[in-house]
Amino acid sequence: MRQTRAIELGTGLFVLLGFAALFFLVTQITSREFGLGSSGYRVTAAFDQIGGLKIGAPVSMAGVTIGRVERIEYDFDRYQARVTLRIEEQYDRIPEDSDAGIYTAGLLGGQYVGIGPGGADVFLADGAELQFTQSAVVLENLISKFLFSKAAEEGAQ
Amino acid sequence: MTPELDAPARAVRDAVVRIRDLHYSVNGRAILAGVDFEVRRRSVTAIMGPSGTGKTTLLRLITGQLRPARGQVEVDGQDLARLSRAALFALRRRMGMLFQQGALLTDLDVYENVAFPLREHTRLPERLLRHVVLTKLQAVGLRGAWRLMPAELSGGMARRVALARAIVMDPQILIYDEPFVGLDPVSLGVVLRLIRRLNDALGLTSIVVSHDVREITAVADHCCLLSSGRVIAAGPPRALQASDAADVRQFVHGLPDGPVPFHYPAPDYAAQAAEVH
Amino acid sequence: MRLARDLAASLLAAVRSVGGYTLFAARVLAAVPGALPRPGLVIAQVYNTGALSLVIIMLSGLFVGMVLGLQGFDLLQRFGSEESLGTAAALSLLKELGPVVTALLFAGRAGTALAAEIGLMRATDQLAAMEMMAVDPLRRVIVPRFLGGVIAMPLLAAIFSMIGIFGAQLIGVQLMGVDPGHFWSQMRAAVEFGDVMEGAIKSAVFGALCSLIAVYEGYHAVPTAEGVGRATTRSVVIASVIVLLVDYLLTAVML
Repeated sequence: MRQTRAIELGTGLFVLLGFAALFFLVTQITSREFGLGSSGYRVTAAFDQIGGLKIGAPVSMAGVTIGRVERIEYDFDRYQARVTLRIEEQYDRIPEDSDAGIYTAGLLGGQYVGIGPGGADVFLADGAELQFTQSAVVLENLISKFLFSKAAEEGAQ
Repeated sequence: MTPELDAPARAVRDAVVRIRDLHYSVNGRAILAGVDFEVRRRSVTAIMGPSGTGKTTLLRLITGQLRPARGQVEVDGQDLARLSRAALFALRRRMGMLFQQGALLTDLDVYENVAFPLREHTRLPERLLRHVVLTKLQAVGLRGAWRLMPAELSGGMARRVALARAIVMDPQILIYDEPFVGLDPVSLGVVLRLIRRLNDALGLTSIVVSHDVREITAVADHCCLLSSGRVIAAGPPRALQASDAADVRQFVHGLPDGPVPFHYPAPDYAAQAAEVH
Repeated sequence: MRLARDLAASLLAAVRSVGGYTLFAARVLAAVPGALPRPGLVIAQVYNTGALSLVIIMLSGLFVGMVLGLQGFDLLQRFGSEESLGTAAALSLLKELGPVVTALLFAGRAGTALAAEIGLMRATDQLAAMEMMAVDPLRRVIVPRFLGGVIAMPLLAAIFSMIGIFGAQLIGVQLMGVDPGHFWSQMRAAVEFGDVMEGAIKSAVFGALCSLIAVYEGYHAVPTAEGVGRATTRSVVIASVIVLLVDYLLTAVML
């Protein structure tokens, strides 16, 4: 009996430690947040180009993370990408005419949605749409534009 | 030619195990080539024979661990070859087997080893189970060793524990595979006496495979001598001892040379010696 | 001529053993439901294969993580992005090193113990004795050990990865002076739930493979001392090669 108790104790410790490790990996190492899925409110924004934006990417204002990208889909009526953002509920005073843009964190970092505040005194509510958007900058386009303009300059001279 | 030493009519009556024309071979080498014999209810039957004559194979065929190439094995009137795995397992619950080295489960102690079949097949309350297990251990004289692990037991003790385990489900047939190998004279005497006592007290049918002629003839009611895959003699021990067939005499009296040659087949000595140089 | 015959013979043997493994796996899986009413047996095996491997897994995880910290720092510093050390360490541990190194250690520690134990039970007639007691050794002995391995491996791999990340943090942050905020936040931003799942799926597959190989080799061991020794060796060799091969396949599928 003493032996089986030692086995039970050892097994219990091992299993608990294992699940603690799994929990740690899932919650602390990744950007996924659990239990917050339904809280906050949702707004949408349509972009011509979202680049490498992914679900779960941060939504930030002035560098403060205020929410996450919840859904990305393609809207065939407007031929644009429609991005659903989930904003945490304490950030409930974002002016209606704020603009959203897709930026890159650092030169090679992941992409995020940045929101710049507008001047209206009506605030965004659940289901609202951000009207002013700025698409992601695609590096290849930038380079080709740059080369193109260089060539045009040289041609003009 | 198999000299039947007893009256065949008597043997047929009430046979628990009946074997007819049994053949078995491994990789094309015949181990058993036409074995016929019977085991009568409540008797101690010895299967004897030199090493490597297929005695253990015969046991495995009787218990359905192996399937015969040809012939028939009937236990309690049931043809083993026709049984499903479930029916075979049901039949085996009425059989107990003592393996050569005991085959105790090394990770369980003596008590749990004996309790193992009960725990697997029954839902006895712990108190009753304890009673049954201790009774069986008492029968083999090892109740005091109930907390020892198999590694702490001597060879003779391990075999007695295995015997207690073999009888814990109250089988009707008890099979011993070489129960005397490697035992000191005292343990051997104990095991020998247990075989007879358990057989008579519990009304069992016992089958003992052995090549220890003197020991086994002391307890057996009936002997069956196997050589090169055939039964060469069968009958009560005394009849076997009195037999004047050369191969039976050689085995029963332990003669070094005879029909079983002392020398392994070899080419001419002088020729082989000359070959080396 | 003889070479061709030998080649054909060994090819045939290889095909046969693949078939043997497949049939055995099917028998084990078919026997799983029969073993479930006895969770105690499985728990005892989770202890044998998991809890007893804990120390070696944690130590190895720590050192692998520390090496990752050193190497990763050296490499990333050349590109001026040592803040990504956390990301690099976490991803390599979660997706590759955690599952693979754990599986290799498991094959060496728990797999050999399993193969030797079952081989010994075969050699000492314990399996035959169970058969004679009308107990199916597959259900009583093999399946609990198989399930124990399947349960223990993902947990061991998770522990390995967690300790490894702390090991990398120890070197990167404490020794090399990477900013701890960057270390953790970059890691969180870059690592996705799918990466953790990828590692968990891999280690569950490895757990099933390693345990299956160990119990198969033990169960089919030649019943002699030499045969048990050979079965033990075979179980490590086969399990290690299979783990690396399957790791490639799984990575290719999941990337």
